[in-house]
Amino acid sequence: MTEQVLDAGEHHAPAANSGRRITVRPHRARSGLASSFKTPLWHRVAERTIAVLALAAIAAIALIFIFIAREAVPMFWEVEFAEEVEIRDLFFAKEWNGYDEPVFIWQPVGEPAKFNVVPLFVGSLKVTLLAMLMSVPLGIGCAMFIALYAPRAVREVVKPVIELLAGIPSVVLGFFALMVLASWAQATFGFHFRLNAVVAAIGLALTIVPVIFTIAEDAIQSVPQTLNEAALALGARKYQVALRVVLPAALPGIAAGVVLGFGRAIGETMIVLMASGNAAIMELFDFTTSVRTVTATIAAELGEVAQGDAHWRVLFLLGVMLFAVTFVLNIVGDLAIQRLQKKLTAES
Amino acid sequence: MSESKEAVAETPVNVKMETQGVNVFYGDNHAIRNVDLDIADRSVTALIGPSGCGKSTYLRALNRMNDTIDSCRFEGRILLDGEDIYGRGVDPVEVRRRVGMVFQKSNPFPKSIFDNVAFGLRIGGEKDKDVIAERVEESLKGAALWDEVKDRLQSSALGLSGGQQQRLCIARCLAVWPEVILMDEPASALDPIATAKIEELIRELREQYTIVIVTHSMQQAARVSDSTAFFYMGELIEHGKTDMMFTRPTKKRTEEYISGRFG
Repeated sequence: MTEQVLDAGEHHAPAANSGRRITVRPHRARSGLASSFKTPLWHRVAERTIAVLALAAIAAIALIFIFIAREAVPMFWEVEFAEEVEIRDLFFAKEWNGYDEPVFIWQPVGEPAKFNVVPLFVGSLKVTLLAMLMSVPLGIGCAMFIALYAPRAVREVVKPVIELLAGIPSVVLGFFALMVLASWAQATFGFHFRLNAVVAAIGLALTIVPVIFTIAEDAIQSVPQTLNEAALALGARKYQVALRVVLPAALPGIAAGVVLGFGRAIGETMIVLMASGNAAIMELFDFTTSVRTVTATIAAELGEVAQGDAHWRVLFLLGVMLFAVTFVLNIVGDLAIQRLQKKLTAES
Repeated sequence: MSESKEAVAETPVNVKMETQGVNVFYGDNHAIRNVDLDIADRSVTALIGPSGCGKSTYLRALNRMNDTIDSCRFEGRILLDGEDIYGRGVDPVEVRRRVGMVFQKSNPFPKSIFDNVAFGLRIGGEKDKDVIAERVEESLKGAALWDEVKDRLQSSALGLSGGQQQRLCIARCLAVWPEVILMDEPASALDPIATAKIEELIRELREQYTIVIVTHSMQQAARVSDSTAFFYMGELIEHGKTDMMFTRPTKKRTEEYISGRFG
């Protein structure tokens, strides 16, 4: 473009511009037979490579799902499995010998073995929800303080420290929860069971807070400064800017952090394995009892079962179900975030 | 600086804001040097000058927006109706409620048109829905936007065109009853038609408000302002009635800038 303009101006260029050097459009090399409008080979190769890499990532996830499902699915037709377990008993309560009412029980080494997955999912959801209840307000509050209020010096120390917390191996946090936190919680709250859902949730929160904090802090930072200024110029106080302008504008990003934190929480294994007490108790509302989560069950039992027997198949079924739950929750979360984002940008 | 005072003194008007010996520093950068400037009530004052001359910094000093920048330091006095807005115990938030601001780039909140205009009232503690609705309508009418948006008050402000967004920002500013409105190149990102609308609006608003406008366009300054102040390298070079400034500037620098020899 520039060359053209200068070419045109050559004849009647104003005197003031006469000192400027006029460049001549370089001659374009025509490549052989091909049209000169064709995309160069290298660009095509680069684009293909990127597409292949992206597909590979998706394929990997699909394959993981297929290989887990392949171990679980035969339970629906295998005779050996049917002899040992009824499919119905995996999901519904049953009145076993010696019980006076239908119960949900996970007792793989019992005689007969009882594989009811409901108490495990109840355990997982209890711990996860409790951990989210603790870490969402903490993570977001912390992010708002660091992004909007903290002096730069504080920010530069606190932010990396919290992010470092995310890098602590979960077995270390589990050990901390098991040894220190559990005793402290029992002494403070007077729990009947030393290891319970609350202790596991606190341990879990330690790993989720950094996830939510980091993403929420970035979302808050990326709210345009111009919105801040607009609010200040209208006579808003700092807390009003934070709560009424910055927080709503950052909400999609914050929600993304919460969704990611939830995925992390429900999938976390080591901390809940160590600190939850691991008793598969079917108790919906009492958070001071021990719980056994889906993940901890898989981790603890899969190494000790015979490949292909009923217990093995049920553990893989747990994996498939956990995968499905996480997947669905992620999609729901994504849809919610998209709707939020749509509300914030153009159109009604 | 004495000339500028005489120029204002020729026609006695009420002074809304008085600037006395103002210096602004960004870290080591002395951005505004010893500026004395009186801003007349219910008039339009244009601040002109080449890029980086400090006119925007000066503008932001008038409603203490510079306070939000850590490295920024202020010296001097700025009086609003005789009261020093940098005085001891003055709350900058209260200052900004009386001295509103419209920015270069329109910056509506990602909320509905109604909520944008109502924002200032709500944070000011206004709870009465009827009062808010009434004031929103008045403000949108005042910003010549009402007819274009009255049927879609609940849709997102981000769906408006650039010119409409800027008028929405003006409406948002009017809603909190400011006495002075500061405008930082309010039309620089707009097309000529939208610019003409904003300029017409500024001329109308002059009846009720004191307006200070930073502009890069000397034509714009000539069209909308009553008096013009020329800034150069952080100093106020000349201040006088706009028609005088553009026809018979007293300083050589002013003449050179106005005739387009630099800037």
